[in-house]
Amino acid sequence: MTSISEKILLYRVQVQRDPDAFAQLYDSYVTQIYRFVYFKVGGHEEAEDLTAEVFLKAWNYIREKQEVKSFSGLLYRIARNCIIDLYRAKSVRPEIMMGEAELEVSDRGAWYEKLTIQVEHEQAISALKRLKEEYREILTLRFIDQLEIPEIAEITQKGAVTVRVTLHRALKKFKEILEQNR
Amino acid sequence: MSRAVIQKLAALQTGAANPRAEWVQTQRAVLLAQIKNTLPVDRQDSPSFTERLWNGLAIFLPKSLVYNVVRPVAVVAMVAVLATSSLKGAAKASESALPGEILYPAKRAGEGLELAVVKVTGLVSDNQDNEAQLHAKFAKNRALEIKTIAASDTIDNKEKIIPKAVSDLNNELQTITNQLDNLKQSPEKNPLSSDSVKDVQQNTLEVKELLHNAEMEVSLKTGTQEVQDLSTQIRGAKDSADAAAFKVVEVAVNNQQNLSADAVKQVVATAIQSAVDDAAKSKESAQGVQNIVDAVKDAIKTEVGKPSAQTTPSSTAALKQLNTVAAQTKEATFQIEQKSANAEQKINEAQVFAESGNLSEALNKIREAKIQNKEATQLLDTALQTVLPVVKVKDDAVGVVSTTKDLLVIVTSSAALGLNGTSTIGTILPNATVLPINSSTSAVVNKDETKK
Repeated sequence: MTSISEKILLYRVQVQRDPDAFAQLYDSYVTQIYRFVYFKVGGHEEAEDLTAEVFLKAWNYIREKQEVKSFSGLLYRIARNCIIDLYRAKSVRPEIMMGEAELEVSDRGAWYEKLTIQVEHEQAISALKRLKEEYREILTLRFIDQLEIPEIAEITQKGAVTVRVTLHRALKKFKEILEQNR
Repeated sequence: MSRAVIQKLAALQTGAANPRAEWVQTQRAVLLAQIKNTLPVDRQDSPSFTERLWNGLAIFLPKSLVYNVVRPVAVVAMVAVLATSSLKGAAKASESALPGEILYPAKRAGEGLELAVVKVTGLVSDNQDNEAQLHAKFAKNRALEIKTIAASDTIDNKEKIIPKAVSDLNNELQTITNQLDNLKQSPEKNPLSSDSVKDVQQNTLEVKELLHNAEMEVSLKTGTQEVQDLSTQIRGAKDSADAAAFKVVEVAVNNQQNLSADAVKQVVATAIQSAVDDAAKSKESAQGVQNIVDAVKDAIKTEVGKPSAQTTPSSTAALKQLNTVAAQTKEATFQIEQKSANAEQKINEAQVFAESGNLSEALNKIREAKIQNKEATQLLDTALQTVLPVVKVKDDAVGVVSTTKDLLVIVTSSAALGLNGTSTIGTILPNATVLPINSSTSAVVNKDETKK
């Protein structure tokens, strides 16, 4: 989504209180936010609950006429806070759970290829989940959600240089874990 | 290696970390329902238009910019627009205001504003003629004010208001003259436009005409001493207006190459026409004076000749003096007619030169014609000065004409070029109708009427 069309939607939401505009924003960002949450929490169920909460909080935030520079930035910030709240509530480190991806054993040998991809995904996710929180977040934002460094810096509220350094270290660590798992 | 790792991560975009499609859909519906629930409450205190505007702007621009820069600037701009439009409005409303009225300062302020605008924009384009044009317009306003005040029956302290207006008018005329001088000296620096030349000429000629009328009005309405003072002042302004009008022609002729040929020809033609009018006027005035003197003579003769009249030494002396004056007037009239004829001759020559395209020669001829006209009006003035004592004498000779205090005859010399103005003959005559006075140059009014 271009920043202009995002701004227009934002205008419709904030000034005209247009739910449909908010629904369009939801369509654009739900997958991204969901993934971001998913990598931080135990599983899909928690990710679904948290994502729903994030969007509702975002609506309330905009409704209160607070300044919104970037809608995606706002969503990520809310998501982070929600996750922190969740951790506090549980008072425990999130359990590392393997994703409950369904495996469809279907016809014509396509299942083997699918399985390979799925296994690779499982490996990557499991490696991600074994990383420390900071590294996981930054890798998700940069390589899965494909955000730019300044955007990440804004979401994580760190300097751009810090983000780069962290990213570099996170990638190195991620590689190590992948190799260990082989 | 790290590229492969990054690819692995990127592959997760489509992988198991994504939400289920049906959850996304149901969640969308749930979310919409939830946020719609919050709406009815909001709608009640829906924000005002301006609030919406600022909020909307704050989305597209940084909030601090909107609230610290855009909003103050918009407010200042709004105030400025209101202030100037109301000033303009006041100026419009006060267009017909006269000196001494409440709205008059607003009128002058409006003019000042107009001038300031031209000065500011004029600096950019460096066309000073626009300024001259404005001053000519203002001069016309002043002349119109003077005329209106002079003609008014309800304004009291005219002898205070008129001199002030005349001095303002003189200032305007002086400014016009200075600017025309600048244009004359360095035409290349300040290029003129054909329209502005015609405009300035038109306005200055109108000023002259208005002042002429004002002079007549003043003579009709006020006492003799005040008339003398006021009419001298107005006459002076009329001279300046005439000089300015002629200067326009000089500037136009000097600047021929920068102006359209038609415009220059038109300006010269207008000048010629104005000179023709002036010559005709001085001739008519001279005739008018002659007529009055003759009429006075006739009237007195008739009165004296009546068997009931008492002949006194003073009345005999008056008659004698009247005869002398009549002879002088006749001589003066003859000279004036000569001068006018000379002027007409020059004007005809100017016309010929103008038609053949030799505009500078035409200009010279107009100038000569103006000199003739000026001399004619001077003669006329002298003639009137001689007539005036006669009237005084007649005033003393009450015995001759006893029943005649109710009529006042006023001769207004509408002499050419405004060099000469008004002289009043307050004379006592038995019967106004015996005076075959040229109606365009003089007026016979009932004395009672003038006191109204």
